[in-house]
Formats: sequence, C-alpha cells, structure tokens
Amino acid sequence: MYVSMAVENYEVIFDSVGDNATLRQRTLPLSVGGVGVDSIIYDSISLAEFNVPLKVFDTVSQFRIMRTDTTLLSDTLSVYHDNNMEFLSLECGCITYHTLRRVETTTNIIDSIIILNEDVRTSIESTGTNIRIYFHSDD
Amino acid sequence: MTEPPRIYVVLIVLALTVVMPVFAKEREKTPFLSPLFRGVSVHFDLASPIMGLTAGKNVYNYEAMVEVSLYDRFFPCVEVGYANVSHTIDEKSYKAQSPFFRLGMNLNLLKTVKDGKAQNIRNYAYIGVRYAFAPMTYSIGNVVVKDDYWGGETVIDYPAELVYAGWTEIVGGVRIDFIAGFTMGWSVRIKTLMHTSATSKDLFWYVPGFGKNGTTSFSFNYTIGYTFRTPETKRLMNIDKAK
Repeated sequence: MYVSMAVENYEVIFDSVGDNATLRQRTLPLSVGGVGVDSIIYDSISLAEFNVPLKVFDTVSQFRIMRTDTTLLSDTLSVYHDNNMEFLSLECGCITYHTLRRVETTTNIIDSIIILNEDVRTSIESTGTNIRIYFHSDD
Repeated sequence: MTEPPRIYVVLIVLALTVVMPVFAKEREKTPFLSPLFRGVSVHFDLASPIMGLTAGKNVYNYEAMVEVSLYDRFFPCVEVGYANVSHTIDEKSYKAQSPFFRLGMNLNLLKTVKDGKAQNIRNYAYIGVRYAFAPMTYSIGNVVVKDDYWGGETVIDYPAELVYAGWTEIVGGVRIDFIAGFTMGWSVRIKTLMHTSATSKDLFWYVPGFGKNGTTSFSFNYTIGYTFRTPETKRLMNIDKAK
C-alpha cells in the first residue's frame, strides 16, 4: 500500500476559429522520473494517466517528463506539498500522506497544470486524481 | 376448654385443601426466596497467563475476580487484573502495562426456586456482561520510515503515553462447586473495544485486559477459588439436600 500522486494527461483543442475549446484526455508515450534520481518511474510507456511518489522527507518533489515520440525538450514539474506521517499499526508501521500546495512546470511540451485534489493518499483511500497536465496539442 | 364443633374442623380442613394449592402455585411463581445475600466468591484466573503467552512470548496477564450472590440468581462482580506486554515485530517494539478493571453481572441460567423451595445451587451455567476499563501506558519504538524512491530513512519512537481504553464483554460459562465451597469455572468472552483516548485504536497491538489489537477479541478463563456462603444459605442448601 503506497501513497502516490495520481496524474492525468489532457490537451485542449481549439476549433478553426479559435473560439471554442474542447478538453480531451491524451495518451502519450512518456518517460517520467524524479529529478536527482537515477531510477526512471515510467520509461517510454503510453500513458493517459500515471502515479508518482512524492518525497517523504522534503516538501518539494520535482519530476522530469519527456515525450519519447518527439525531439521536443522535456519539462520539469515541481510539486510543493506538506507531509503528514501517520502510524498505521505495529505490523504496517508508518505511512506518509501529502497535501498539495502548489504546482509549477516548464512549458516545452506541457501547456499548463492544475491541482484537482490536494489530498494525496493510497490508491484505496484516494478520492480522485490529484493533478491534471494539459499538454500542447499536436494540431 | 370446650372443643370446637366438628363441623368447624371439617370446614377449616376443606378451606385449607382449597386455599393451600393456590398458595403453593403462587410460591412457585415467586422467582426469588429470601435471603437476598447468599455469599461471596473470590476467584483467580489460571488461563489468562496462558492466553497472554499465546498472543506473544512477553505478554504477562493476571486477573482475579470477586462476585456476590444475590438469590443465587444474580452475581454482580468486579474483576481486576494487570498485564505487562513487551513485543517486537520486524524490529518495531511495543510496550504496554496497566491494571484493568471490569464491572458487570452474571445471570444463573438454572431455576433457583422450584415447588416454592430454594434450589441447591452449587453448579450452574451462566451468561453475563461486563464493562471494562484500562488506564494504560504504551510506547512504540524503532519504527523505521523509508523513502524507497527518493531515498532517505529515519527511525521514529513514540514515547510512553497514558491513555484509556474501554470495552464491553459478553461472557458465557459454568461454575462448579467441587468440594466444600471450593469452586472452579470456565468461561469464554467476546470483547468489543468501544472507545479510547488514543488517536486511533490501530495504535494498540495489545490492550491489557482486552487482548490483541483490532476491535473484537476473544478470551478463555479457567478460574479457581472459594465461595463464602452465609449460614442462612447453607441452611437453605441443607434443607434441600435433606429433601
């Protein structure tokens, strides 16, 4: 049972005039990993949504997100959060929950990012996706 | 002194033959016969030390109980005990020690009055309820917290904290008078943890008097002790014995 931040990928498509925008979930081949960590969480996998762990002993977690189907530069996603360590039981030990405070990103492949649900919990306890990434449209 | 007329004697006898069965029936309906106070029992539990050790090798649990017999039907009781727990799981340690107290009553399932006479209640089956309470001190140590992906590790100790835990019990058992007031009994208990001042019931690995974690616990008691009966109770029992 792990606590991880749930992320979903979206894009905004405008009509030819540019007046009307449509939201669409986007499946993209991505590589995702923590900044400063050698291990990659997702290595060139087609993803419409994904989960990443936040830091237990720090309040800023940064991730490098790269589209593997283009030569565009990767983006760095910065997540600012509070940590709340809770003792579960003698058998399970402690678990650390997070509360999202702010998110920032560079804008090479990502257009923008929003917090949907600030409470980061386990997949069993989760009440919904935590953040939504709007990627630049290919159109 | 003149003898009463024979007709009166006949009438009295006839009246008694009509009235007495009515009185007898009324007496049969009477659920309790005096005296109210029948005696006091003191028991020590031999099973709880073993039950404690089945939960963990460093779980020591002792308990004793005192009960009062009312009409040999109701048995208000007080139970006291002490538990000392020191347990380790994956290098995480849990320590708790506390006295615990239970207050409740047993109900004898056998008839205490039959044909208007008190029954010789030496052995009986019973059911009962308890409310129990433990003002416990517990501590948790050496809890390792790791960040498997980003790295980093720390060890947390939760220092000793005084909290209370309260629970209810449903008891069923038998009590046997095996010789001259020396009594023994078996009972099983289902316990439900009701409330605690701790932030979560999950913090407890073992609650003194309640048992191992969770919200429901089960235990078995084998008690041995002595029942002090009042002279009047002994007389009642002897009357029935003679019968």
